[in-house]
This record gives sequence, structure tokens and C-alpha cells, in this order.
Amino acid sequence: MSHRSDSRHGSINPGRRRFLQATGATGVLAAAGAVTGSHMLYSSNVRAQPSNARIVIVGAGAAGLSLASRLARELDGARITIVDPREEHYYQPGLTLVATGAWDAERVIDRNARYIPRGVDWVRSAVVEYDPDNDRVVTDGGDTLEYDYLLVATGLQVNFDAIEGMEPGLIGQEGIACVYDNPDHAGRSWRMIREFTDSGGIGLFTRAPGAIKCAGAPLKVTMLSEHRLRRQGNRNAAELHYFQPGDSLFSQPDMDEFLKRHFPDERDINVNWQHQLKAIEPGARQAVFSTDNGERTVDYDFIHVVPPMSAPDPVRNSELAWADGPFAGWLEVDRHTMQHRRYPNVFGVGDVVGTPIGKTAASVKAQVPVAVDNLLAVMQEREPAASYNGYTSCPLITEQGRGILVEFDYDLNMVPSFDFIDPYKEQWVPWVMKDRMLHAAYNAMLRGRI
Amino acid sequence: MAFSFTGILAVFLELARGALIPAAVLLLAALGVAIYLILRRQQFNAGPAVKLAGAIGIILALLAFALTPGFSGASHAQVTSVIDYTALTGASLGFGIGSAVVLYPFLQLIFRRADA
Ligand SMILES: Cc1cc2nc3c(=O)[nH]c(=O)nc-3n(C[C@H](O)[C@H](O)[C@H](O)COP(=O)(O)OP(=O)(O)OC[C@H]3O[C@@H](n4cnc5c(N)ncnc54)[C@H](O)[C@@H]3O)c2cc1C
Repeated sequence: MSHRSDSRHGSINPGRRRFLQATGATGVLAAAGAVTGSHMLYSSNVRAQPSNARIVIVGAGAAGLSLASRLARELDGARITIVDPREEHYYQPGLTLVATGAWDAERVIDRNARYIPRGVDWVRSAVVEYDPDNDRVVTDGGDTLEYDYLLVATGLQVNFDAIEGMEPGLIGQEGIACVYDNPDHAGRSWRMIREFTDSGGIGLFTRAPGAIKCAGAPLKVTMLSEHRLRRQGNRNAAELHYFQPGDSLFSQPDMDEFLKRHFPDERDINVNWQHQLKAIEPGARQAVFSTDNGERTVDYDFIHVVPPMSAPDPVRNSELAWADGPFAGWLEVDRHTMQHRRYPNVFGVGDVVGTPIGKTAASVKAQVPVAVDNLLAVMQEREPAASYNGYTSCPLITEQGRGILVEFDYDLNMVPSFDFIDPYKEQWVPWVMKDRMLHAAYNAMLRGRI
Repeated sequence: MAFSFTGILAVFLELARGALIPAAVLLLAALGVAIYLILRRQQFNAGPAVKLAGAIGIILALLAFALTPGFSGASHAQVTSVIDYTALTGASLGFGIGSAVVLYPFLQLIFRRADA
């Protein structure tokens, strides 16, 4: 049995047809209008859609837990399984604050068990193989999980080994920091940033080419470090260099223009264009960059390393990945419906998807309701009509205590949630949102309430 | 990205999650005292309790205005725009008024007993 389809919303396969017959499509259709798109603070599933579908969600991060919460509420009788070996849940948007000393690492550590809804099975394993032609995944425990619908929410992997001489164990030694992508790394990075900002020296701040999660994070680490140097009275004792693989600092053009002025003129940060970190020599404290003019070796006292990122290997090596093009290796979903372009019973949400922008928790918040609505539609043999507009957001923290709330879409237009907050101005309110409100909003998202 | 009213409520409930039970106990106690005072149907002089609750509310609002930026890890120098001051003033006023409202029934009880 194959779910492969060449059309975007391919025809229903026999397995799904059988499932629809089993659930009684008429009742399902009647209930559908009432539940989809609802944003109530439900505590029970009285308006849920009856179903006996087997739904497998891979990944219990921001996207996976949020999907599980919503599906558990919207479906009655479905067998929902979430697969993730990790017991701990990391609030990753807080990692920049951990790495720059504003938060303790404990503040970003939570437990997945607190958010997995009742009735959802949790398989504590990693998926090592996707077999979408046979509707199944294989775990590292050797189990095979069969599904009617698959939701891929595995986030991404940070490829430390893509930089010669780099490995995660070096973070926190020899001036090496990396905010990606767990509290341990962020905590060790804080030790290095504190050392550098207490004593000064040459600080290098890098950024990997290609898609990375929260593309604002490397900029925030740079600006927060510069701010701490000023607060410590050591700004004159330090030289700051930012290395950008391309020729823009930010994908949203207004913000790019702002940063291109702000870094050199207001922060005295020297920007090096077309520089990609190729290797580091920790003992010698040297970094090697590939540039348009060949290799360049730079000495440092401190370096913030941002390695290249990709979809996790099991996705990258599967039939589910884009085979070529700009998103090669990432999950091949339609950028608006979040439905897989070749396997209509597969959806993807979060960092793993191959879409132009949006590797943020803010994007997850916008994508999850779309994926859930469209999954319910597909289950009822309707066209997936809900559409994700590419919404992404980055509270661009320019210093401890101030920031800019940047929100934009696929067209790179600013789409502010709150009209009264000027997206072009450094203010205290975005900082308060980042420091206090967004963690609460994130947790509410995990519970499927926003 | 639009936030629904229930969405915003859900965020505030998450924000206050750890303090929800103590806050509920305090509010229920204040409500209980208020109901008790109303049910006693005794004439009482509300003036002193209202004045004291108001004064404490004003002091707490001023303290909140002075200390909130610091609590957020920022400094007053970073509170610069109209929206910054509106948010700070609104939050401080809300805190002051809320504190005064919750305190009033307890103060009235104390003053009533003192009168009795
Ligand atoms: C330093 C930093 C700063 C950030 N700042 C912001 C910010 O300010 N604003 C914002 O909106 N976003 C920010 N983000 C991005 C945000 O955290 C991510 O976009 C979001 O967490 C993505 O959610 P996800 O569910 O796709 O991935 P994750 O939350 O990473 O979850 C993926 C889950 O999948 C599991 N998994 C992986 N592989 C497998 C497998 N094979 N089998 C089973 N399970 C698997 C993992 O264990 C993990 O639990 C930041 C991220 C970082 C690292």
C-alpha cells in the first residue's frame, strides 16, 4: 500500500478510504465545521471529531507537543502516539538570555511529561527510518510504528562536525561559545562570554550559511555581549567582529538596513561580509574563514560559533526530504498547507520543514493550527484550505533591557501583532515581552491554547 | 498574528501559574470578608479604611513604577518611548488599584472591630 501521490493534494489511498468508512464520514463532516479553527480554552473534547485513525507525531518539541495537544482535543477515539526519546523539554528561545547571563539555565528546562495530553501514547525512542510508502516508521528500539497519518516535528540538527576542529565538548573552553541549542551549551557559553566581557580582547561572532533556527540569535548574542562590555566598562578593551556568509544581516529588508547601520555606527562592530567559518584551532585560538578571496585566518580571544544546520539525518536520508532545490534535505511540505507535497497523509511543522523562512517558535505557533485544520480536512476527504502565510517573529534584543519586536511573513512584509508597538524602534516593552511574556505564551502554545 | 481574547487569557494564566493558588486564596478571603461585612448590615464608617487602602495603593503603585524596570533586568534609562511609559504606568496603576481593592475588606474589618 502506498500513500505516494504526484499531485499536491493527491487522491485518497485505499487505506485512508477504509479508515474513512470506519469512522463514518457523514458524522465526521457534520462535526467538522464546529471544531476546526476553534480557539476556545477547552477542558474536554465534547465537540471532538470521532475517529479511530492512527496518528504518529515524531518529535515532542515546540511543534510536536502543540500538535498533540490540539489533536487530542479535536479528535475523539484517534490513537495518537508521540515519539521522542527526550524527557527534558528546553525552552530554546531563552537560550540567548542564558548564554548572556540574564537567565539561569534552570529557567529554560522543563519536562515533556507536563505537556503530553492524557490519552496520547509517548514512545520514548528516536525514529531512525521513515517508510512513507508503507506508512510506517522504525525506531532505534527496533519497533515499527504503523500510521494512517504522520506528523513530522523533529526540529533540526546542529552540524558541529561541518566546522573542522569543532565539537560540542569545546564549548566553554578556549574562548569558545555556542548558544545552540541546549541549556548546557548556553550555560558553558555564558562562562566564556563573562570571561571575555570582563577582560576584553578580540571577539569573533559567526553565522553559518543556509537556514538556521532563530536567525536572530547570533545577532542577539553579539549585541548582548557588546552591551555587557559597556556595562563592565570594558568596551574600549575589546574589538568585535561579526562574520556573515552572505551580504545581508537579516532577511527582512528594513531590519537588514537598520542592522547594517547599527552594527558599525552605533555599536562599533566590524562586519565582515562573505565570510564562512571553515575551521577553528582551539589551542592557537585561531579561526579560519573561507571568503571570496580564499582562506583567511583570524586570531581571537573569544569566538561565538554558529555551525551549519540541517534536517535530522533520518529525515534528510528519507523519501520525505526535498531531493534538490533550495530546500534539499529538508522536509518537503507545501509552504502554505504544511502538507507533504508527495505523501498527502504526511504533514510537517517547525524547524524541520523546507520553507523559505520561519525556523522559530513563533512560526510553530502559526503553523500548528494550519497543519491540524488541514489534517482534519484530509481525514474528511476535503481540500486542505487553511494557509500559513510564513509568519515568523524575532524579538531582536539589542541590549539587556531593550529590543525590537520584528514580525514578518513570506513576502518579508512587517506584520505586527500589536499595532501600537513600533517594529522599527528599540523599546523596553519588547524586552519585557521576551523576558516575561513569551515563555508563558510558549507554554500556552504547548498546551494547544494559543 | 492575531491573538484572541481567550488566547491572551491563556498566556496570563500561564504567566501566573505558580501564583494562582495563593492569589485565589487571597481573593477568596477578601471576598469572604467583604460578604461578612455586608451581611452584618451594621452601619460602618468606610472613610478611614478607604483612605488607608487608597494610600497603600498609591504607595505600591509608585514603588511598582520605580522598581519594575529593575525587576525586568532593565534600567529606567531604557524606558524611553510613549508605549514604554504607557505600559509601565498602566501596570503600576493596575498593581496599586488591585492591591487597594484586595486590602480594603481586611482594613474595614480591622477598623470595624476597633470601632466596636
Ligand atoms: C538560541 C536559540 C534562540 C531562539 N530564539 C527564538 C526566539 O526568540 N523566538 C522564537 O520564536 N524562536 C526562537 N528559537 C527557535 C525555536 O526554539 C525553534 O524554532 C522551535 O523550538 C522549533 O520547534 P520544533 O518543535 O520544530 O523543534 P524542537 O523544539 O527543537 O523539538 C524537536 C524535538 O524532536 C525530537 N527529535 C529529534 N529527532 C528525533 C527523532 N529522530 N525521533 C524522535 N524525536 C526526535 C527532539 O528530541 C526534540 O524534542 C530559538 C532557538 C534557539 C536555539
